[in-house]
Amino acid sequence: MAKSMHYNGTDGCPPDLLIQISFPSLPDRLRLVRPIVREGAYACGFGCQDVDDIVLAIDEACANVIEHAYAWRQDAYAWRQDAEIIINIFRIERGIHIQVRDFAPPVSLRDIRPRDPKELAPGGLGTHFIRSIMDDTRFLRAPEDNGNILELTKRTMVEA
Amino acid sequence: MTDIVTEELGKLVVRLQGEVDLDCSPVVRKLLLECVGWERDVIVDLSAVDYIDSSGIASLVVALQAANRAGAAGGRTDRPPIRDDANRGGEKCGLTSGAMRPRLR
Repeated sequence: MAKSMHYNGTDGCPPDLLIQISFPSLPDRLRLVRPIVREGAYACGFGCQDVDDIVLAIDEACANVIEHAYAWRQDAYAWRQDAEIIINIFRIERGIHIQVRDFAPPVSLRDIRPRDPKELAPGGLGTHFIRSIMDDTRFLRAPEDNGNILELTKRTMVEA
Repeated sequence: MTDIVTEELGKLVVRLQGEVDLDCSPVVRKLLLECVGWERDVIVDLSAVDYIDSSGIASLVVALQAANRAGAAGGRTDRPPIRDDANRGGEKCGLTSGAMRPRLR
């Protein structure tokens, strides 16, 4: 049974949960997650370029969780091994809806601001990528302040 | 991710291959900073990179900044062709159309 993360769908259509992934918050797990997200995006009807973009957006979202939400010694790249990330991929009418859930202390919205990519500096690019790729991004506190939920939605192009 | 460092005509050429993500970008960053420290021209060849995320790009930026700080003539970026099937992470900050060359004189 999938761990509950409510989503009511869009346009009156019920959401179709394609897959739920749960994995330890470790950098080397990202390469295992990317192919699953890729197949999920294809299953939602996206073309190659959009699929690549969606994979990048979800990778960046998970990397932010690993590096910032859970990391306790970022400078030494010593990662927490007791932390979990859950990804839910929903097929919606003409698009994809993805939830990225962590169980880290609540993150302040001020800490996840994107920066201008023209500025030559490391950091903040991941959030910029996520917002430029996805149509909707919503950052929520999980119930009882037990973590954070990032909701990402992208719609397929509809011909006029 | 694999890397190969060669010396060609007095320049250090760092060829990266595969996926550059949060897992291996600290290694890339360390390698590039080490190369910059050798006080030669450093060329980073990304033509065999299939995937690069923001942490990989951050490693390139950190190396370029180090080259800028250390080099009398400063650093610069050139943009030779890169594989068409590489992901678009670099493109979103102006890198997909070419590899970055932190250059130190």
